[in-house]
Amino acid sequence: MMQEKQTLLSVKNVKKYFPLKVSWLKALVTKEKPYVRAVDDLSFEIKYGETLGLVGESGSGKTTVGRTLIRLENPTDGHIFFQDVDLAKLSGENLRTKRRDFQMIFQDPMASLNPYMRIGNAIEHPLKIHHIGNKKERKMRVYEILNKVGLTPEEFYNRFPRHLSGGQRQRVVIARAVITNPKFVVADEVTAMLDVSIRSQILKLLIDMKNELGLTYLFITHDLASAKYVCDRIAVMYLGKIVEIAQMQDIFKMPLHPYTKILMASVPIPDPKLKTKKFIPTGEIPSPINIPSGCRFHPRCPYAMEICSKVEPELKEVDGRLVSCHLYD
Amino acid sequence: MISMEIRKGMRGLFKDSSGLLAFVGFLILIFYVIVATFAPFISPYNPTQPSGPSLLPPTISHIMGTDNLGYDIFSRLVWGTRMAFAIALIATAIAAIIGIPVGLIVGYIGGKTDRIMTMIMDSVYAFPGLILAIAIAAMLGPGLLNIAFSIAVVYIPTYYRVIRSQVSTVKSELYVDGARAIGAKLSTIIGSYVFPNVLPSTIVIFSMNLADSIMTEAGLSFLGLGIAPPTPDWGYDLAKGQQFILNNDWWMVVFPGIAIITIVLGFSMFAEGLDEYFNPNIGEKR
Repeated sequence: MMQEKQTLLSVKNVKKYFPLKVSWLKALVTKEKPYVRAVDDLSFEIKYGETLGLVGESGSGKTTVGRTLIRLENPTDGHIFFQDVDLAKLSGENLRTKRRDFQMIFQDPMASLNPYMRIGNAIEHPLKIHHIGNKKERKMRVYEILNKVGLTPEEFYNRFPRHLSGGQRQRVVIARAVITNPKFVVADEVTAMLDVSIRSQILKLLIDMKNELGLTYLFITHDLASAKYVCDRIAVMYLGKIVEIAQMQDIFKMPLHPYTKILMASVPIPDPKLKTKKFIPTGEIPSPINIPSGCRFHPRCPYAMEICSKVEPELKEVDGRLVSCHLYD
Repeated sequence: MISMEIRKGMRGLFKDSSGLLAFVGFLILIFYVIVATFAPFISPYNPTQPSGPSLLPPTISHIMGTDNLGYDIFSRLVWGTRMAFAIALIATAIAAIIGIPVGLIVGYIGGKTDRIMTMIMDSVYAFPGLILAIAIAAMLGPGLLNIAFSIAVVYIPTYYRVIRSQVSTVKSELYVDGARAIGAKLSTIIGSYVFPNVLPSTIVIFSMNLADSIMTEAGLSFLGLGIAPPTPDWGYDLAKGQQFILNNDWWMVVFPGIAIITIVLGFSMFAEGLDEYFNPNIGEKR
């Protein structure tokens, strides 16, 4: 339990820009290249055994953060320290062998399994790739993990993904992600594509897995209810930046950043008589190509001041949490 | 390509009966496979030796007549089936062995390699098939393997193009990302995750190309660039018969012609049926 206080993953100033395609004629005229700034200067830490929730609207860059952390995307700039190893600097064989320590569970269970690979082989494959155990041991391990995720091994080992329902597939994906005993798992909207009735089961499975295998999660979601269910801390993301990081209870009780407030207000409360005044943010999330000057949220912010459109606020500590807003200067 | 034209026509004819189409094609193919396998027992005469008077019209002893040298045409057709199959299979196999891996690797890597390779393949593809085959066959000279190779060159781009375009869609699938995330090597990703997912379209091209390469082979030997006579070969027999057509000796042209038409039709129908089976929504897209 000593480990709990230590930092597992430390993200420092990570940027991920996607270059836009420009016609060569335009490229001749204008010097600067247009980018989609999906992740813009992100810094945060995740401690051992912790579940950090990453919430935000669609298009805020949550998934890109996840993909960059496990190096499915190469970060444009910055450092990702994973137990003192900078993942951002790893490449080739070093990166490949390191991959058994961090995994990702994708959003769409229908698309994240190879349709031509039997369930048993799909789960076994990570072990095979990293040369763990012999054939017999690997099969034992697959049986064991299938049991753990709640699928009878005898029944599912030789099936193809097309024979499975969405919930069952997501269980397979989870089994495959944890079979190499990784330390860190990115769970990217794991429940978004599932039926409501199955969501809580999958979330419970994730929590069980975490407790049993000592995992650390980055839990990406736009569903605040499920974030509340699994997360220890929550980071709110807006347009490629984190606007607020706080303990889960704090953020639900007393959101500080205006954007967090709006997000919290958007959680439906199951009481038809309750009439709260809600501020619905006006307009859509702006394009990450033309990011607003100053605070990124100011065009939609109900509390916008003059300074907001000029100076970009930094993440600062307010009441023991981090917020980036001029309201708390 | 010829088989493409046939396929298009057949789509209209058998709109909702791809099963029947494949079945009929399959029957034709089985028939020819049996003929090729049991050629020594089926053919009544030695196909490379005169077995009767020359230019004999079809009779009971020579059911398809004899040619100008007195060879029995029926026996030559039966033995020619072997040649047609052998060359078509070897040529298509060579084309597949080169075209598929190149398409897989280039399609997965993408970028500049992809652009250069596609340009090369497109320029080969742009050549009329038979003319390219003639040029290569003329360079290599006669012989079964040489003919097969010159036909193969024509069909490499077909594999390359189809595989490459399939790979470029498959590689952005989530399960390929998943394979990268678990640390699979490039060869594993391509071999276990990409290849199985593009395989169905390969099978369809394979049977389609068999039809085309039989046509091309017949064309080459018709023009005198095929197997050296007197080895039985349909294209060569057709060319020889053509010299006597003004003599009203129709049997020398008609029977080899029918053989070529039916086998190509058989392969095309079979390919069409397979295509409908493996890519059921392709008809909607057109």
